Amino acid sequence: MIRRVRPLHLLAVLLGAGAVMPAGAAAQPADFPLPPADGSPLPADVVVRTGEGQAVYTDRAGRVLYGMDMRTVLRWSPDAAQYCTRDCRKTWEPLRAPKGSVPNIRFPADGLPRTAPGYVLPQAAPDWTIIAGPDGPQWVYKGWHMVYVRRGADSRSTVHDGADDRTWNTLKYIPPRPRLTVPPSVATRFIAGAYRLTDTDGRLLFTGPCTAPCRWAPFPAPLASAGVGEWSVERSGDTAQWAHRNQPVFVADHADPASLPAGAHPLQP
Amino acid sequence: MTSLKTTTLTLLTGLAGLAAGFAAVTPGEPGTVIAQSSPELPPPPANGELGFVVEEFAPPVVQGKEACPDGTVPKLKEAYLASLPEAERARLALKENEPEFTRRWQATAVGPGNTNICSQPDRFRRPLLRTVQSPTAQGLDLDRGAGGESCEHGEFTSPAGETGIDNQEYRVMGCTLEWRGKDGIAGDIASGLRQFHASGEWTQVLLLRGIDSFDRDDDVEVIYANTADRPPADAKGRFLPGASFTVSNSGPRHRNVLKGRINKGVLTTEPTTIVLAQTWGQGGARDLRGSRSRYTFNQGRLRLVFRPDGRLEGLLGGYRPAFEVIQSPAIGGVGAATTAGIDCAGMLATLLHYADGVRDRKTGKCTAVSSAMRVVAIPAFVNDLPAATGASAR
Amino acid sequence: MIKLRHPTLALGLACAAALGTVWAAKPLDAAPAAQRAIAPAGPDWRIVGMRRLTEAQYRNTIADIFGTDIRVAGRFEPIVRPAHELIASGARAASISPAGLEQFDAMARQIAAQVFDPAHRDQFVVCPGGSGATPDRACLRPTLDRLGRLLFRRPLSPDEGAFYADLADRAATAGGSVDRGLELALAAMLVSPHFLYVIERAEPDPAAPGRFRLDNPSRAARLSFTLWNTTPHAALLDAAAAGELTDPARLRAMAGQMVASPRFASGIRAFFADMLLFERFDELAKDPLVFPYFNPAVAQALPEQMLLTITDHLLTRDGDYRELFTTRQTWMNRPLAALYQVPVSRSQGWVRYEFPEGSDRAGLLGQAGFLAMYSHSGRSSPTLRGRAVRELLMCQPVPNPPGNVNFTAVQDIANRAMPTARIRLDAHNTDPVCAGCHAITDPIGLTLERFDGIGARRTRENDAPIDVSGSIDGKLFEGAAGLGQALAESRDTATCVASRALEYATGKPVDDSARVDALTDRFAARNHRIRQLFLDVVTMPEAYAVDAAPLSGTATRSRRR
Repeated sequence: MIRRVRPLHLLAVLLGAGAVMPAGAAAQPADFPLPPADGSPLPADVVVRTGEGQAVYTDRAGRVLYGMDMRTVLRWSPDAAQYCTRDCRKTWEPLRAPKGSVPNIRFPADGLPRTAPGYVLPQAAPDWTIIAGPDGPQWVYKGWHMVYVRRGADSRSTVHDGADDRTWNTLKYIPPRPRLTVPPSVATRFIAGAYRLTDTDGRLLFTGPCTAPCRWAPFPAPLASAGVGEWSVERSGDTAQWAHRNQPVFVADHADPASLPAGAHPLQP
Repeated sequence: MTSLKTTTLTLLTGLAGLAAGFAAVTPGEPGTVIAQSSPELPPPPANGELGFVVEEFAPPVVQGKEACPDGTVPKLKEAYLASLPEAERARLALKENEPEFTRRWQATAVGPGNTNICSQPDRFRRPLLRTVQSPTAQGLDLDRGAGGESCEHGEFTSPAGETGIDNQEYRVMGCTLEWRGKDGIAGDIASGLRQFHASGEWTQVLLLRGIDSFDRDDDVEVIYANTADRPPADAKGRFLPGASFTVSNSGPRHRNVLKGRINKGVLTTEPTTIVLAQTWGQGGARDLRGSRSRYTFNQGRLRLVFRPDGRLEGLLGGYRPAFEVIQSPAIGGVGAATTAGIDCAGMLATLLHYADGVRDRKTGKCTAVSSAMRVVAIPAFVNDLPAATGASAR
Repeated sequence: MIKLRHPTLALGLACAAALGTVWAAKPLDAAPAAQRAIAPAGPDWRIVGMRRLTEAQYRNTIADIFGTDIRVAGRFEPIVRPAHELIASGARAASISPAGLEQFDAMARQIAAQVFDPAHRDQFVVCPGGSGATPDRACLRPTLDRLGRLLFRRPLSPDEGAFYADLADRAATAGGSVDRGLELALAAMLVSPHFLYVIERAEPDPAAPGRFRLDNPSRAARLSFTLWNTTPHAALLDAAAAGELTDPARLRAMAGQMVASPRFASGIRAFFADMLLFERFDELAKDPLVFPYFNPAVAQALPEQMLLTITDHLLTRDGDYRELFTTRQTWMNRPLAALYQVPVSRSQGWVRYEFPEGSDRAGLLGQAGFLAMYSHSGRSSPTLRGRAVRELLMCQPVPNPPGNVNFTAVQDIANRAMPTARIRLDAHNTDPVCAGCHAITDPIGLTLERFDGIGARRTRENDAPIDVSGSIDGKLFEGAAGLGQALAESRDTATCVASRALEYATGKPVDDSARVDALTDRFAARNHRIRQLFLDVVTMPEAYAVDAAPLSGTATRSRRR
């Protein structure tokens, strides 16, 4: 007898997908917001390459580090950490952790206990952890990305970013967020290669000589504020206005440093 | 009171009319369509541009008992029960043996090394699924002129009598409960896709440029793209005509540029790869709002009819990679198998068995299934930023 | 009865009760207990008015004083609008019920807790040793004196300062921290009548012996709340402290700066929201079956589109007030654009939009906000629209319908025999009892019939063509554009906005038609520029002259009769 269960195919998928690995924040694909480095020390073999374009991690030989997003290879390998063998190994070379390193992370596959002594969860992992890879201990970046370099002539380039349907993504470097003493209405955002100060909606803050009639929007301060750190309150105008190191601060209506008015200097930490 | 009643009545009449329209003028009967719609169409817009937002995007299922005479595809649980001797079946059917029964049928969904039939469908060997038995299906004739690319396959005839219809995806999936539904009620795929489509996660828009005539125009550019803008809808979830949408020039969405022509009120596009966004789940695996996947229509093409009320209605056809068809339960993993009872491995095997497109160069086997989606689009304003900035199409 | 659990609430209620007693029974300045709590002034000063802060004024004040990141959550007891008057006038007679006070108390606690939380406290606590000093009890008085001056819009009296410092000190002892003490004292200030009401005080007018005028702090508050809809800024408080605002030249200079500031837009928004009864948007409901384009996003956008049009035309473009009824310039966002069936390029936010020439969408009356507001939930209403034009834009009150009217004909919108509103109203008006008033409203409202009950465009109703001819005071015209033109040419619209502006500033309806006429003449002479009108209104000496009689319950109520 066939009982009508109403197995909501799509609903089940929703639930299933939600339950398996909830961790979008550590995405490295280029089309999603990148989390900054957490400031933990880099593995000895890893350096940051800055210069033109997006800064990336490389090995000491200048080969670009790629993360293999373990969440994308499940179909082929229930233990995603063991995915890259044979043909894959011919293309990608693991960034090995020092011999004798003890793994402290593993892929949370179906059926495995979520936590185990000595292991961190990927979603709560520091930047650099070690997993038991097919070739022994191997570095993992931000919990989900097993670290590799591309073999061959273009190993120093980033051309393979996003390869295989975003399985392979360059490890992009965003400096650790600076710790500042700022008013609560000030935020720090990484925009166009540098940290900038913005309001809490992400609009750029800037200083500069605003000539009369000044059309720049003052960055409002609380009338009652006595200032904080290098920030003081300028009260002579229509609006109480923040001043940074005694320079009146203005707020743009956008987040594009290139579109600031002439003479304006974006505030940077 | 009076006014409300009347409105409801009008509405119902309208719906009935709509339904009748769908039944009478199915997308697969070009002859009727052309004769009906062309004379009533308004003159083309002065600037030659028409925008639309896609309201319906779901596989068309031809209802009727002859399609699946043995019923829908058994769920994992039922399939397991059917595989047992009768006495054992009776024993397991007893209430007190339910835990044992559940343990045993669910064990068929998992394998060694933490594998399961939905996350790793290639690792399991499952019998082929029941397929559609009737010769009738909606779809397009995809292999006319495709040369030796296709693999051997049966063809359908459309409800309106058009022959040579290729729709192996329907052949395989058309008897699953999710597609067919039950007792004349559309399956979950229809309602589910409608919900997803209304969610704004992957709204589709169409922008037609260079329309000179609805009667005959050999050169129409068709932008078929995703937008991040959510369509406004009425209280019943129907999209409202005349809303504005933006096709981003930076977002991770898809934008297909198709070459089209209009003949007697029917728009067709030349075959090319059409890719459209799809996300499954919410806050899932690796993305911000769900697991990203996509629709890939190899040798994809549209055939859409201009309706006098401003709608565009018809089919999108092409060859979809077999795995893409089961992407949703595959992402669902073991839960899709043990909760929804979906036999992902059986589905994939059956899809590959009936695959009729995109030959693998090494093996020579086909890897994709002919497929069709019913598309209904309503008038909208489409702001195509990539065109405005001259960015190249993807 | 409310249970008095919290000291702050108890305090608030006590203040309110004291005030209420005084207010109801005898002049405020005659009550020694109350007088002690109020800042000193000259020997003859007196309280002549109390105007409750509106919700927007309260929110703006908190944002200005403590920052926009301080959350204000709670329900504000509404200020009742007297018939045919502004809420600004209602504010003069607005009391606070025990339940309303409880709400204010909850908000006050919440605000105070945020102000002195670890993320914010450092910038608000001032200590004798400078801001770097470890907070101790020596910080209480300077911190609270500073906040008190901003919240009460005048310096605290020594008694008040001592009272709040002592309250903080006791709470600090009980709560074990200076912050806790400050928090409680701040919460107490926030439920004080001196914060919740703008208290207008009069002093003897040296130029006119025996007469009184508003004192400096009261003038500062009037300028600020009228022009910017918020609490006085630092320069204004300083000017008041220096006694400059009783000097007509200084007053005019200050007001001139304020109407030139971008912040004047907030004041203009608040004024028109009051004049055009925007509080009704909160309750706007439409039948979703009849009007599928109406949804929460549209409901939210309707008043905003009108306000953007108003501030853009009157301030950004410095336009003629009368052209508000004819302009094709407006603003659009995505939800509204669907209703208007026009394209909008941006996914988020507002963009400028100009209706095409020849479009019947002219001015404020062609906007969906006005059209939807003055309609029923399932159909348009020429009568409501015409009445709104008369009452809101021309200040001509229209009588309410008698209680026994038979509305069957107008409500039967599906009747094929009477397909249009015009035909239905004609049928209705065969009753002479109705016809008199409808003659005042309908010839105006029928010109807007090409817009349905949510302001979407239509050319036919029940398949019948819509006739949009109409008239106003004998002048014939067609459609919304014709109506807009007629209003632009009518002196009544200019007179109306001028009298409303004066009422808005003073909180009293104006019954002196000569004064309104003179004001309208000056408005006309300045090409109907709204900045000039408001500059006039907040600087006219008559508006600051007050009755010698001090405020009393009797006096307050007598005006209401």
